[in-house]
Order: sequence, then structure tokens, then C-alpha cells
Amino acid sequence: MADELVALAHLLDRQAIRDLVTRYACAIDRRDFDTVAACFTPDATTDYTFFAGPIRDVLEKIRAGVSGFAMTMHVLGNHLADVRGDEATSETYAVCYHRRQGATGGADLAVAMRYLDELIRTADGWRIRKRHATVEWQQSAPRG
Amino acid sequence: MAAERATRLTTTSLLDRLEIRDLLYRYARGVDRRDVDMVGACFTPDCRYDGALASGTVADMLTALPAAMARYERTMHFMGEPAVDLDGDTAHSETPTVAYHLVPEGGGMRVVHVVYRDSLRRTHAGWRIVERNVRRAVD
Repeated sequence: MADELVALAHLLDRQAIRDLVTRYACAIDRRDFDTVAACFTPDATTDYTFFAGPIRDVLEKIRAGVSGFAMTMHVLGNHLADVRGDEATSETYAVCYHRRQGATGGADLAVAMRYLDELIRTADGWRIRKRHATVEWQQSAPRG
Repeated sequence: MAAERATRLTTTSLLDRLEIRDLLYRYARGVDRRDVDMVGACFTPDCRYDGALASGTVADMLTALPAAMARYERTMHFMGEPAVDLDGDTAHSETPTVAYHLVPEGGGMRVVHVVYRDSLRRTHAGWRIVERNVRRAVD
């Protein structure tokens, strides 16, 4: 029984972390920046390759960057997480499509990233306290 | 998938499914990080392998892998959710994957769609792939 409870707790942590990373992606696409901010600890640090710094500064840059596109879609794939007590690390593959403004705005921009996150369990649940988003490749994608 | 079977979602089966999914994603991590040991650790030593890299055993695939990886600046094996069919200490899975291969010196991108069809077995060290079949999908 004790083993089963340990297993259940592990499953719940893994699911909560996956949900957190997924919630971030959905919130960016919905431009719900309050939800985006709530995915991080207030003192989180980030390196998004294009810009880096404390999350409060980077959030403004993300907001400005995303607002330059008509819409975005963050598609998440491979997700691995390593939970150690109240801390965890995770890696998530993402292909992020950016639709340019205007009816003839040109091809979509696809940017593939790996989110390398350090997470911490807080009173309000798991939060990202450090994020390194590496750019794996980017290219124009045919507009659907 | 060999047979449609409704897997009962018990704690144990959820853990098995998570461990199998992690295993499949670890394979991609190993290939994309060019860590042949990490890739090799996903398989039993006698795993049968049939795909573009080799037709034989996983040892043949692992021998061919470094040269195959060296042709590209980097790769990204972007996987969807694996369909896992559990049966006690064995399992089958199918994993749809878009493999992006970045060609060096501005050579563009080679995109290959494949499905990994795997047979897996629970070993003393955790789940391992015992047979892998890689097939090109839409393209």
C-alpha cells in the first residue's frame, strides 16, 4: 500500500508538471499573460535565446513579440521530467507556429524549441523557477 | 497494434505507461543529443531492429548511428503521444514521429515522418524495447 501511495504521488507530480508546461503553451496562444506569469515563481529567471533575464522583464518581451503576429500555435511533443522531492527538471519539445499579420502576410514562421525547465513545488503547486528555451531550428512554413 | 485491448487504468498500469513513454522519449533525447549510450540503454542487447539505419539487431543500428548523425548539424525527433498496449510484463507501442534533420552549411531541412512500432518487455532494470520496426509514414 505504501508503495502504491508513493507511485500515486509520483504520477500526480508528473501529471501536474506536464499540465503546467502545457498550460503555459495554451496561455501564450490565448494571450492570457496572467496565466503565463502564474506558471513561474515571481523570481524566476529565463533565457529564451532571443532575450533573457528575470521573468517580469522577459514577459514584456514575450508579450510584445507575440503581439506582432496574427496568431501563434505552440505544439508540444516529447516531455521528460525528473522529480526529486520538491524540485524537478523537465525537458519539453515544442514547434511554435507564428502567423504573420495580414491576408497576404506571407508564410508562417515555425520555430522549434526545447524548454529546459527547473521547477519547484510551492504552496500553490509546481512552478517554473528557471527556464532555458533553446532554438533548435526555424523556418518558413507553408500557410495552411 | 496487434490487438485492441482496453488497458485498465490502475496505479500500476499508469506507472507502466508513463515509464514506457519516458523510455520512448529517452530514445529521442539520446539521438538528438548524440548520446549513443543513452540510445543503447533503451533496448535489450538482443533487440531485433528493422528500419532505415539497419535490418538485424539493435547492435547493427547502434553501429550505423554515429555516421548517420554526423551527416546533420542537428536533429529533432518530435514525437506525438505513444499508443501503449500493456499486457503484464510485455507491451506494444506505436509512436508517430516527425524527424527534422538540419543539413549543415545552410543545406536546409530534411523532414521525415515515421512511426516506431515497438515490442517491449519489463526487465529487472525497467522497461526495454525488444523489437523495433521503423516505417516511413505520410511521405
